[in-house]
Amino acid sequence: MRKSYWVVLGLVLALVLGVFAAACGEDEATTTTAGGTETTAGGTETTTGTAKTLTIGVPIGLTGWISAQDIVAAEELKIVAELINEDGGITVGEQQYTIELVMEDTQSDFDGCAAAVNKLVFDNKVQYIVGANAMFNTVVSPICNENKVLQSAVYSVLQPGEVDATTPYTFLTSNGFVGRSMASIASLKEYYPDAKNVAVVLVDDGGIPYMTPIVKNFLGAQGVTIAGDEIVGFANELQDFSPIGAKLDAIGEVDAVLHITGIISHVASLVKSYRELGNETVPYVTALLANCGDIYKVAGEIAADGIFSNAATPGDPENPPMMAELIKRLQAKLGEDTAVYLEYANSLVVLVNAIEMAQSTDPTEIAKYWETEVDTIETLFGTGSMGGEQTHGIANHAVAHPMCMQMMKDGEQVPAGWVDIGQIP
Amino acid sequence: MEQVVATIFNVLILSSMYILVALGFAFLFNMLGILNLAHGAVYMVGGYIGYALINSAGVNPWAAILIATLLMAGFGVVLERYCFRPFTGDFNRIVMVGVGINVVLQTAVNALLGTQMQALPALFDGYLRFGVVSVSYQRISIFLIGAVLLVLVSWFVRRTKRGQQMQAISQDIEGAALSGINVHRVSALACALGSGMAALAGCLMGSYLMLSPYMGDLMLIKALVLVILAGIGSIGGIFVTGLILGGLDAIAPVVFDGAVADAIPYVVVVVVLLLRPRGFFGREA
Repeated sequence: MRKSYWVVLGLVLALVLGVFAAACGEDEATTTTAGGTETTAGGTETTTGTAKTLTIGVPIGLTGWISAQDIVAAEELKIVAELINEDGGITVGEQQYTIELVMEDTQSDFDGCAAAVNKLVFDNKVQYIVGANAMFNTVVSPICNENKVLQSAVYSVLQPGEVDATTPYTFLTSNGFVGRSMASIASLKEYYPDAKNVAVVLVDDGGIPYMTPIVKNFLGAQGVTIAGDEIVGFANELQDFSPIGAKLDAIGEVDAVLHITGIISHVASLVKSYRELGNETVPYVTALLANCGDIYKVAGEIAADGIFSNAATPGDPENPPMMAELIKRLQAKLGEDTAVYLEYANSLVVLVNAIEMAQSTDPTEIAKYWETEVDTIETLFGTGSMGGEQTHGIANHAVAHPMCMQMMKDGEQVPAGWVDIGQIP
Repeated sequence: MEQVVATIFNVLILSSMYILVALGFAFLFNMLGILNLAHGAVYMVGGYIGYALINSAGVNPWAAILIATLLMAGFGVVLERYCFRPFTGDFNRIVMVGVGINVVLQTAVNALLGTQMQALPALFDGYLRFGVVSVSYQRISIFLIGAVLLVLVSWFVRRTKRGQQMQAISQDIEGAALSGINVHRVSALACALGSGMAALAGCLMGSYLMLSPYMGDLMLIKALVLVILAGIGSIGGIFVTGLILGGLDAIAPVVFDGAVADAIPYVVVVVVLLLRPRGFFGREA
């Protein structure tokens, strides 16, 4: 018995060491992980009297179902922080600041997200937060606003208390599903001008009642109606999308499918399930930062054509310089085939620009200035416009930036042009 | 009509995959009382091995699935010998070992491959179309493979000497040992069989859906639910409960929306257990 015990212990230790050896690899020495926390100083030392450090908290899903996306997003954030620091960091008055990111793992669930944000706010005492993704903003926003922490939100599902009149410290800085959907429909119309009747599908995380009128509104403005007059929802943790594919198919003949919220695994599975039922030629448009190539990898030949997404294409000559450099460094680190998301990175860029525009490091002053004085702001995607009063019930808290579109054409992932959506309504 | 046909196929495919995974889990649970919480990870790793063999080594998909199945069957033997056998009778330690192995395997795969979207290639391309109804050959083939395997496993358990020895051990382990049955050898075989089936299901589902480091978690829960609903000691009952759960999982999302559809199957399970705590076919305590 005792010998077996040591054998088992040895096996487990070997496995654990193997995991760490594989995971650490060639990571920079400044990256540490302990209980789901990552810290990076962007390669710059803090010295009293010269550059100070501006600490920005990032609740992000390093484990769990959203980690497939957020692990890449974490790398993008580190690279953007490096780029900003290499460019001199942030200058407020006479003082220069370098950015330090403190990442906490949300574990892809609400409890983990709450714990992560509470740790950032109360233990790390951050005054600025970038995040979170998906529907986790419903957890992040109230904590930030109660504690006067300036939040650059990556996404919103329009639930009360996310981005509305009760959240003066929260700014939605990465288009959100409204902006992305508007861009996707505009792109669809460019290639399929007669598309009018569109089936709409999204994650049902309780937001459908709030989202439906907003979706009808902006689709109507673009001359599009919801097929079957009802949005099809699915559970976040769903793995087999065959029933949802069958549900979409039951709607009948549609001009396109618009997939508004979710992550790439949802899209890939649903494309497969839906098109396998004889809908190969129906354009599938996503309002997600999902690489079409990745959708094709999972769904196969059935997704070789007519798939649209809001994703940056590496090598697109229209990519702004900072974005192009970020993608280049990301590919050098994670490989040429890496997915590119950019929403977290963009939210960091916008936050940094807002701080510089306000010329203050006080979250309350920055929030007030941002809300009242800023009409346009530079983003990773180009110049963005502030808006969102109709959608969010608070003016000037939603950024609309130009959106790069991507499509699958004859089995190849190609750029589908850039769309300027103007303002979030 | 098309939706009905599609739903029927969804029911059959899901049911067959759930049963495949749950049977492997049930072998150890019923025979030795071992709650193998690493079973979901075995399912997941099996799928990824199949993928790696096809994509990196250029192995034929069918051969890759066979190799992945055999490799994980071997892993099952190692699991039983070094991780479960030393702790037989110590439920808490077995649970912790299973959890530990699950976490290690999941984290390793997530760290190495978690950011990439992967799926095994379709085993067959094309569709069978009749009227307005369209069913892919992929779905038909997965259902047929699952069904044939289940028939084979059922025949093995009921008709072969080793299968009957497994049943004997699950009914009375001491009596079986006293009868001259080599309990350790049969347990190792059961674990190999269970792990192999889980790996095979992982490859098939990795082709039908997609691969994810967390795909095993949900499947483990399904396996546990099936075994409990069927009742402790009942292997045949798993076929029935597999059909029930597969049906609920395939039909509920069609009828209900989002999270409600996700909850319905578990509500049914809770109600059944409240009314019949030993499950449909379980033995009295």
